[in-house]
Amino acid sequence: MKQSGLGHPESISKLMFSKVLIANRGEIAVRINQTLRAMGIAPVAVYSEADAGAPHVYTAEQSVALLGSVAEETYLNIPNLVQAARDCDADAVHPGYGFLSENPEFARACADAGITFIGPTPESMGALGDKLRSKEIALAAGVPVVPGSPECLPGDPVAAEFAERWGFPLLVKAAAGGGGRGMRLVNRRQDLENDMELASREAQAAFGDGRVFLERNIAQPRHVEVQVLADAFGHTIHLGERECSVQRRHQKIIEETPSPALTPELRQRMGDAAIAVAREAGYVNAGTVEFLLDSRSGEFYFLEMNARLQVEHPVTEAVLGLDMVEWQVRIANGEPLSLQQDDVQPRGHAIECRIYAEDPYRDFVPSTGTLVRWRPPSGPGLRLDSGVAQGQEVSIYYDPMLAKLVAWGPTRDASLRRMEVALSQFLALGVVTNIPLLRAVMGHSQFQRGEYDTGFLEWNPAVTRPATSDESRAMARALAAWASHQTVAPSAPAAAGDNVVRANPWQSAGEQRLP
Amino acid sequence: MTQKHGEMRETYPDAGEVYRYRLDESESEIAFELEGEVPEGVISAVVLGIESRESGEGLCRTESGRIHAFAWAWVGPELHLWLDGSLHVFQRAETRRRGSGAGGDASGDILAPMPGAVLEVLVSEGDRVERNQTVVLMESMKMELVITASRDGIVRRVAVQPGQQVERGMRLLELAPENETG
Repeated sequence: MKQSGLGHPESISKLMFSKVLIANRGEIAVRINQTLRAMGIAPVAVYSEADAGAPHVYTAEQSVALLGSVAEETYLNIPNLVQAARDCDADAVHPGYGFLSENPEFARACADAGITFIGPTPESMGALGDKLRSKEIALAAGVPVVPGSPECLPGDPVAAEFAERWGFPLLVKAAAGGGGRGMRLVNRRQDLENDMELASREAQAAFGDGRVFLERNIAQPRHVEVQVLADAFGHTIHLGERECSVQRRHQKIIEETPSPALTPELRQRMGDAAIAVAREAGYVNAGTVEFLLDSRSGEFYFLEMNARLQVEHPVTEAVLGLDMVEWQVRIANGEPLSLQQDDVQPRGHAIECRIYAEDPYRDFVPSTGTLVRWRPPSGPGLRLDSGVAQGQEVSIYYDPMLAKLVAWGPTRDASLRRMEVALSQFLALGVVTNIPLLRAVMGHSQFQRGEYDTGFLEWNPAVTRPATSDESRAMARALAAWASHQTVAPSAPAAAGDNVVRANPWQSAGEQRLP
Repeated sequence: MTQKHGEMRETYPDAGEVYRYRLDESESEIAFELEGEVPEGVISAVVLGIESRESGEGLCRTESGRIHAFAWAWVGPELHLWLDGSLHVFQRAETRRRGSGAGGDASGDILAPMPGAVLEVLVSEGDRVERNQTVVLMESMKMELVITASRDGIVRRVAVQPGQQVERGMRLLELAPENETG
């Protein structure tokens, strides 16, 4: 039997949660707040000292302060988060993505406190979070994997043995990792030891686990992932793919669905493979199976399964007209998934751009400061998931992603054009953003043809260089001259104090040097 | 009608030479003339409003009739200008001459490129370092940063310790030229 629409589950058998604590911050916490409120559930925010007054706090119904600002003391502090959930009588906890979202100890601690964790069981999360065990799961499900070494610390002879067998280049990755952190491409034997050291240190800092492993490098792959949904009764479906090949520092910046690289036949094979992996892992709730795709041969390899909501889930929502967080909540509440595979019929095309506070022309170095002006675009087919507001401080403490802009269109061309226009109207002042880079990608003929892989930015260095026409440069200079007479610069550091010194340390550093 | 003039310099995304400008301002129009490396031109602008002492927004029209949106804000001594989706950063030329500007190449300083924490200092005072040698490891925004020496030299002073929080532009190390003793 066909459902009337994807967004409205029919069976509401269980008493719904009345209060859910969101153990996260930024745009994803805001986005979860929205769905919970629409479902009649009270969202509870937690916040660090640096985040007091942030949008994820004032879009919630209640909030709990966490002492400290660094992530370890706040959004990664399991005892304090569980205590906060208890204190406010939350029925459930939503972990968002990042932070503790894939930490089985957190899921277990919630369960032990009688609080539902909105996500998979700690057991399947633990198995999938372990890169080697997750590969065993994929192999058991009949899905090919990329050859990799055992997990080890720098200096372990297993690394040298693996390098001997597969040769260079190869990848070093964090055992506990994700999001590209602790990941490095090693081109030469003599760099292996040093790169493993750096990756291990980065992994230790980001995940509290310094173990790494080596992996064979697939040349010019595309990164294509498949979204799955599974209920607690063994019913598992996939929600199509997302193409995430535009990356910098091995982190995605642009995602789209459908992928321009897939034929209907390949889509079906990858979808079936994703379902097989999820079933083999005993997976419940929303998850994503990531593949490396060799687009020339059509061969794909299992990379990992992310046991959580994905940053780029809105593109799937846009083409399917459903709310992924709502399904996460219902499944966690023990409701059966009423959707069948045949109900999943994507409409049109959607693309997401991640807006980062970083300088695309200087190695993507993060930028901090006050968002003096922040006016995102709006219009047909646009969606903005934002975690910041005008006047807010963009601090050093957390990920520099400010927002996600999603454009939907009846065709790929249409969604790309909507995105290009929207980016050109996106006003952000006070920090440097990657918006000009995103625009350059939208305007790139190779990207427009859908012919790209994870090396897109490396193969097209022009995209990461400023491209200002003489006319707009002249206009910018004239307007800057005019504006400089309309308003005044904050007074000199000595007179205005600490604030201004921090606003431009280059200047103060320069002055200190003068004799 | 009032007239204004001065000197500015673009520092981002393209670093340019100092340019001189002259503004003729009437009630509804502002005519610009630019001298220097860019062609001279006249642009009309309508100000939508200045919402604070330090920032504002407007629309301008080129001679071809095309309309462009812009906004600006002072960030310290820098004027950040947003025009049609792109950021340009300027400094008043007079301001720039006061300090010696960004970077550590000319002097012996190695500065923090962004705020964060020092993970490790790989050299000690008196060490000889080569250009591009890794001298400090930092962490910022959950990423590890490798700080390298901008030229050959001898470490005159280590200004930070592991674990220390640093601001952007703070001195990490001081280098002396190789031929200098002590």
